[in-house]
Amino acid sequence: MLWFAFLRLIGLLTTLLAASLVIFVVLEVIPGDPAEVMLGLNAQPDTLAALRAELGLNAPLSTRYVNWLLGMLQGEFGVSYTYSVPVSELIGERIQVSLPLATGALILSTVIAIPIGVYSARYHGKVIDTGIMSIAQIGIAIPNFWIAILLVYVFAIVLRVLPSGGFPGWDVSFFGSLQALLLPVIALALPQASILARVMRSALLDVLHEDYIRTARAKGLSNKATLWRHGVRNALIPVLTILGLQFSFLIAGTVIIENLFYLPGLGRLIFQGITQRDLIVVKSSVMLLVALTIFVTFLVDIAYAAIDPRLRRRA
Amino acid sequence: MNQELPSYPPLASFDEISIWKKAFHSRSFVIGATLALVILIAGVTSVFWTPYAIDVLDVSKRLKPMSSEFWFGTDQYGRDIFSMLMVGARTSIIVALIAVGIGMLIGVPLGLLAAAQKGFLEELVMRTNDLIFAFPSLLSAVLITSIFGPGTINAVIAIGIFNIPVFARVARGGALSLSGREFLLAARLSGKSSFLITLEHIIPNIANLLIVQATIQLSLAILSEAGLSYLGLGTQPPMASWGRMLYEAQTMVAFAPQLALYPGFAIIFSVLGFNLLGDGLRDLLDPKMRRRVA
Amino acid sequence: MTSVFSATDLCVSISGKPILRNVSFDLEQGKILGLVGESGSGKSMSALSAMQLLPEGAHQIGDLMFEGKNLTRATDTEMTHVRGKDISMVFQEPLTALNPTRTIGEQVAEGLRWHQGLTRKEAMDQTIDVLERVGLGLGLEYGLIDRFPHQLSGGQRQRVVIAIAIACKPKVLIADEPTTALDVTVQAQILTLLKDIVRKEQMAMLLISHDLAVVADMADTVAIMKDGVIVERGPTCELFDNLSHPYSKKLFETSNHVPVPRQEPVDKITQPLLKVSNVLREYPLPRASIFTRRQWHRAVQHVSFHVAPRQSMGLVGESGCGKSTLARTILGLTPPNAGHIQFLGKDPYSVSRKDRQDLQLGIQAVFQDPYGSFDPRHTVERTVGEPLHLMRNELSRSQRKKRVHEVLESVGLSSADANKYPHEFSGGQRQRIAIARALVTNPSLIVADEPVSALDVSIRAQILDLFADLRDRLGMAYLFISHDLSAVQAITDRVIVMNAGRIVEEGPTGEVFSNPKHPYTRILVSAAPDLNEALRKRREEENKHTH
Repeated sequence: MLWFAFLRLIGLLTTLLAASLVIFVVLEVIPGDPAEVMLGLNAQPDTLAALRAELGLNAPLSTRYVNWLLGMLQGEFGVSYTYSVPVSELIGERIQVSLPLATGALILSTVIAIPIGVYSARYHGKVIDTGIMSIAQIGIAIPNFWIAILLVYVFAIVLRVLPSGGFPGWDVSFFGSLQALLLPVIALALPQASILARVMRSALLDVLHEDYIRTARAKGLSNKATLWRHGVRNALIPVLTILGLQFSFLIAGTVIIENLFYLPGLGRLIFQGITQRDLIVVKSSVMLLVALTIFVTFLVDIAYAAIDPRLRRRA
Repeated sequence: MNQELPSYPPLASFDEISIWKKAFHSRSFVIGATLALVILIAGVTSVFWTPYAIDVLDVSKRLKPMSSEFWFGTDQYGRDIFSMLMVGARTSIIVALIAVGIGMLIGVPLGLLAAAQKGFLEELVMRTNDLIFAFPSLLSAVLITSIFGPGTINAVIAIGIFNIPVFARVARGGALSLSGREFLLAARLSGKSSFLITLEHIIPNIANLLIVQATIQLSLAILSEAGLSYLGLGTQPPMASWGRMLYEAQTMVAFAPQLALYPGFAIIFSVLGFNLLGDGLRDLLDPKMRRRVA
Repeated sequence: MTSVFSATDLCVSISGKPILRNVSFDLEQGKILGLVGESGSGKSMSALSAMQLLPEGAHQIGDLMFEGKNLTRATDTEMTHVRGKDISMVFQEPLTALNPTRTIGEQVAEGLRWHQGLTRKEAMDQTIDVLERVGLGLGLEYGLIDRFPHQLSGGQRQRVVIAIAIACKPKVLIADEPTTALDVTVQAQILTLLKDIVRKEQMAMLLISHDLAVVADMADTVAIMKDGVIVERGPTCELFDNLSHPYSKKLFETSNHVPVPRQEPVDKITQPLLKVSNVLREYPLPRASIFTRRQWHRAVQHVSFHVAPRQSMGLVGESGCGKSTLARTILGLTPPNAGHIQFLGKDPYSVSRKDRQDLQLGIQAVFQDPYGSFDPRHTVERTVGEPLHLMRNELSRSQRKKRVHEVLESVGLSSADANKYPHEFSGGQRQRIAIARALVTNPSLIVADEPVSALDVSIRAQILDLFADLRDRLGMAYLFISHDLSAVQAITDRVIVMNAGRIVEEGPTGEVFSNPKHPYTRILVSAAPDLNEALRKRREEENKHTH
């Protein structure tokens, strides 16, 4: 098990390194001159030169890449061009919004989806199952930003019980911050919950057709006991894969949802970075989100092996 | 005495007539195909004809309610919503088809190659896949548009890149599930090259899987395009897109909430349509996958 | 004798399709009832019905009496107190019958805890006893109780499945093809274990099998089933001595079936057709860690033998002995790591591509699985004609078609079958198509890898006849690979016995089987179920009792 985790960790580091290279190439090599991108075509030559010097663009590419990596390892992400503050400070601030948002949505969708999926599988083929699955089918098709607009309309404009956007900050008003995240979390979670419920149901139905379920029934276990002791646990393996993938969707989803609700999170930071052509902010925050995604994949792999002993020996 | 007999998932039998007969009894297939067809027809028709031109702004006609003149009313700039929905259908379908096409054309050969060549190449292809998976589609789109500027083509590329590993995985998985089959050994005994065997035996046998995956990817691509356009990174005005319409409607949601409903329903209908079509096709073509969801 | 469990006029149908019709049987304490039949006869459904574990959509009438209760009227909750406690079941496929994510100990203890309300600790203590009862006592010292199913051998897994079944000392044990997925030597051990348990613990057992020899060896009474009906039954010896129903007669005959022996003897002096010298084939195993050296699994170790033209060579051994790997090496599919193959005097791995294709014309194969060996999307004509790709420059389209029709007729199919798809044929017909495909290039050697192992007895007899007929008619040589000694005995002149990648014995077939020299061959021959031998032993025993 430890060996398996070690091998996965090496894989994780390789992917991280490759991802950083991709980001570096896309943002610093392909555009030719990042300074020109940041300042636009009408920039004065001396401002350009000054920015180039400030960003260290006169050094060879390999040095710049290594410096960037080393800087990130020490928590130095550079200084934002538009905000004139260290990017690390910006990220540290913004992640206080994005992380609760993404994890909140992940938890909410899991809490909704798993019981519904199990319930639906248990009553497979019955009216209730067909009904739940039809709703889930529609739920998958709904874009989260549309749900968000409807939620804002209903709760903020018509009922006036929740804010339509903005974020007071955790230290200013904890309760207000929670309130501000409620609608965004729901909007992100509902489509994901629909997907997860369907995956849970179909994974469980697959497992329930396995021979060892019949063995458990032949032991005398009741239908319900068999379902929970042998079915759900083994069905969690495919569900975990989807959970891992969903995290990456949620991360992407935060870009849209944070924009819609005017939440000062990482997604909005990246989006603003792009519109303001602040490549330094974009580079480091994208790297952070990608690293987060890769790390979650790693956790999923480890959880996999914890559930399924057959995977532990495979490298 | 079926000792040593490996148990394979049953291959779908090849019986076209009965498949089409069954198709019309499958609720998912019929509903899905109908929805997809409606969107497709709307999109194709918009190339030749729309009730009104969508690039003419006329403030005197703004925010008209539903009427026989303007079927779904007009928006805050006086454009006919029905016409915009038709053009939006065209945008969605073109973006989705090209993006999924990119994913298939690059992903499937890569996946087949990875399945055929164990060792270094397989490792390389699969790790590259992992790498692309690490960039959520919207994030890679954000990266691409931040350098090359927003636009439909860049949206297509961004969504297409994310489709490559999906198809590579499906193709590789399908090919590997066939790898122990004795008919492949028989083909090798017939002196056929790996390329010929892939062409004659493997591709036809994984075609079902690919078709089903393609319909699902189409629906995901429509969602992604809407998201990008909503952020202003996808299709640019004066072309219409559902995501952009939603973005514009959002600012008006307090006064004219109906503006947000139409494009939302359009997205839901088309995504639902392709998803149901995919489910229906899967039931028909691949009984083993019946209960699975992608 | 006391009847513990009795089924009366059991009828089962699934979605309107009748599966069982008026099936009645009694199970007696300490006795074994054997239920035989071919696939689709309804024998497995009888077992599931007795457990009240019929699939969804099944409709059932009739009575299942156990301890004064009619189980067909019991609710599922009532059945949970019967299943596993009073009536237990052993399944066919031990790997899939066990939950891959739970340890052996947990799975055996689960039933004990459920029925006897034991604590975890008490259940584990009892589990150790149970595992000892099924002969896994030795394994316990190596931590078997905390292992997962995939870490066990096939035989060990089946012992665990039996342990789960007998944990609560049930009164009735139902075994559905308990040894079909196992090797012969392991089968013999498991059958002995089951017999001992039944006698020692005085259980009543229903043994379901397709194999008459296994049933004759094990059962006190036998019932023969066909299409959901028990056609004939009786005490084992009596029944087999006086079979009256035409189906049971046919089943008995085909089980004993030996094709007509070769008409003209093989000329042994000629140049060998196939020469295998010192072949070594190994596979890398996954590394345990990067610090240890990579381990290699030697699938085939220094194997040498010859096959003469027209000779029928047998190759026997159990699963994992390397026979299939060897077959692939001979067919030119996987090169050996060391040693040579020579076919018609040439090494297929060192000649030019053109020559290699010519060699391939002379050597073709028939595989085991009549379902997996055809591309479902190709017609029979395309499938059978595929090897003609080797002669693509020499044959016209019409010549090709003609050749395909010829071979289809020579294996007992008609040229009208050419346009059909494989799924339109039965298992036996499919194996004929596979043979036709091997014949189409008119090869001088056919490698047949377990060609009759997946077939029902009566079809197996027909296919063996076809092999014998083709051998005499067309005069090709065979390399006939099987774990089934009786099939090899029926069709081959010489035989090679393989164990753990090595040849342990080689000689004329009759001699090797009647007078095996190597200890492994002796075990193999004695473990192979033999109907007449089983009946002889049983009669001896009965005579002993009567005198």
